[in-house]
Amino acid sequence: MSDMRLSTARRGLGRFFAFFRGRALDRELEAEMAAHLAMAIDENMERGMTAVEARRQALLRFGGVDQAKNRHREARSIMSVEILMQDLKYTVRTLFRDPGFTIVAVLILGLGIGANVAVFSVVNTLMLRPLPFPNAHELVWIAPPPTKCGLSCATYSTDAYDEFRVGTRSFQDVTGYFAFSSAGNLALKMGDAPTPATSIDVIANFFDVLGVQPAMGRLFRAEDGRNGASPVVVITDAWWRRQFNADKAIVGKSYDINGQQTTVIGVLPANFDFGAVFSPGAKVDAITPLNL
Amino acid sequence: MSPEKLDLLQGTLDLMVLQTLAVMGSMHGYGIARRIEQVSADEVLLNQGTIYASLVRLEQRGWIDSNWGVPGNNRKAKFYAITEAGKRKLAEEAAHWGRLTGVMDRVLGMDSGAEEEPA
Repeated sequence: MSDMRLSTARRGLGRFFAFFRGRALDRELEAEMAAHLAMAIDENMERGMTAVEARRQALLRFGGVDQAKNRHREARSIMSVEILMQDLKYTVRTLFRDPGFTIVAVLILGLGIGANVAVFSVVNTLMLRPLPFPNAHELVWIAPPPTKCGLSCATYSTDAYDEFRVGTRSFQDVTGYFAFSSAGNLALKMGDAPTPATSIDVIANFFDVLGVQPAMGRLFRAEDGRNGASPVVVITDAWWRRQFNADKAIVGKSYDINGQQTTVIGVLPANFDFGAVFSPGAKVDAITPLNL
Repeated sequence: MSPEKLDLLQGTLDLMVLQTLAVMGSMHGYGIARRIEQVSADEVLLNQGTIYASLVRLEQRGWIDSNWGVPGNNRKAKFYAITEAGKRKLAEEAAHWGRLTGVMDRVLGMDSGAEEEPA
């Protein structure tokens, strides 16, 4: 019994490796055929044939070495497809015989794999992938210890920010963004109906701290965030393409955004994705300067 | 018998190989081919090379097993032996073959007198 199971296992392994071992199997067949011919020649010579005649007769009876090799190969490949189908049929039959088990097994596997993929994609985005900025290793995220009272406890007041910025000796600069923006908080009026989009307010030194360079135009300067500054906006590459038809002359143009004539001062590079870095899943179209 | 050799029907070579291994025990490809030629009194047209496609088919189905070994004349060769599954398959196929040849015999042996007999 155990012998049989052993040989079944061996055959299974043999099939598995045969799939990757086409050339090795060819070589084995060649050795086998060479042995065959040698034995035939020996036998023919024992019957008194000359070496040449013995060889000729042996080859004649064998009937084409290449032909035999091709047939062997053919049999092998047809068999592997056939066996695969057999195995598949057997698997499906077995699974259908016990639908309860099958459903539970499929669900467990599905959920397990799904959960792994979900967790990994988050971990990969948040922790494994380096930040898409130059000198990313010099960047740190400053946050209060986690609490349960939501975003208000995970953010700092502008006073606290000012303190940090003035008082820090560990960092070259400190920046921040307004975390309470909601999707569709921006209304762009180009025709009759306003188009909703999503913008994030950032402190004027935001891009300087991250080391982001504009693809076109310029990014924010300190004066853009001051009282009475004329309204400006920096747009993402995706929004520039989608909404503005990749207008090469967009820098300097003004649009009615939230009822204010706002000048587009720059376009961000395509690899800048605010959502991917700061709030996974969020789609941000435009960045506006935060007036502290 | 006609002077021309018999062409092998599809599948009959596999059955011959199984039977040969069942009777003779472990054998190499050349031995199997020679044995079939001898038993059939050289009436079948057997290109000895075709035996290897048959052997790989049978082996993949699990009806025979193979091992490299050294026969009496000190030449390395691959030896084949029938498995338990192969013996079962052989019994099945032999019975099927027996029925088929029986039917063929009866049909071909039918003479005109038989037709007139009441059923």
